[in-house]
Amino acid sequence: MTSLKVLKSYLTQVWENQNLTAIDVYFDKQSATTGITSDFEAQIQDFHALVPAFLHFQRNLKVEIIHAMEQGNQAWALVAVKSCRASDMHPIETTGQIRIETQNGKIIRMDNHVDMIGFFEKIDALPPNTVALCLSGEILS
Amino acid sequence: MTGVEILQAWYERVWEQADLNAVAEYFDINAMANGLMSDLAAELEDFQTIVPAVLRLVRNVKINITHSMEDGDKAWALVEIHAQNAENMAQVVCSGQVMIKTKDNKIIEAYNHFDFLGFFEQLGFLPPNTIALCLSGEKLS
Repeated sequence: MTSLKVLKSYLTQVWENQNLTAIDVYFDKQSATTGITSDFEAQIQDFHALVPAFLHFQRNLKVEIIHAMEQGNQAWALVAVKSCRASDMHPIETTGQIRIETQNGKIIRMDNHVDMIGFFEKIDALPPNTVALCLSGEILS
Repeated sequence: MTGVEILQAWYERVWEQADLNAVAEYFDINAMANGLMSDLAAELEDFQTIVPAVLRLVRNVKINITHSMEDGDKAWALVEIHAQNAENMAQVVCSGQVMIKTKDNKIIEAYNHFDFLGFFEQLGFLPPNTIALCLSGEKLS
């Protein structure tokens, strides 16, 4: 399986199908424990907690790949995560970029940059225009 | 220039040297005016507002492209930003991913996803562990 196919499959299985046991299928835990990538084991553990926490706020989640690239064992995608807010089923969209490195069809490194502030604004955990507020010196607590 | 070279030059001129006049040099304003940019993509006005606002908060900005790929007119980079908090000169580290489309050595589309949340935590505008707080149901204001 190419790196990009691994990435697409991971997004479908873990995020769309909410198959949390698949996290361990896609990630190479052996690389993590042998220290090929720093903090990777912690990252996998975080995923087990973070994925359900995020899914708790959303329903009918779909991940759309807007652009993608791959080179060797590296794949990247620009994604739009479309879902309904669990509280009132209002449609929300969150974008992000994900880069993975794979080895033998498993993910050995992942870099996630998702618009977390935008997501938290949409579920009312952060106020609208948080970036502008913080840039202007507001302290949120 | 390749897309990654344009990105490198953009970071050096605009972010490291704080040369705001260069913003327009690297972006094809006509392409933007003609509506080639999608809603998701950044707009020139965003950069002309955000760059000086961010640069007021930090000093000695250095940006490293740690990974990159190119595919035709598209270039992608994983970047790491090192700077110092303007208030107390403490180290600040932030990462992000950016994808650009270029034409005639100018950027015609740009998609930026930076860890603004982590950046604002380090500067004290958001509390530590904002993600965990928001996922546990806290509302920050």
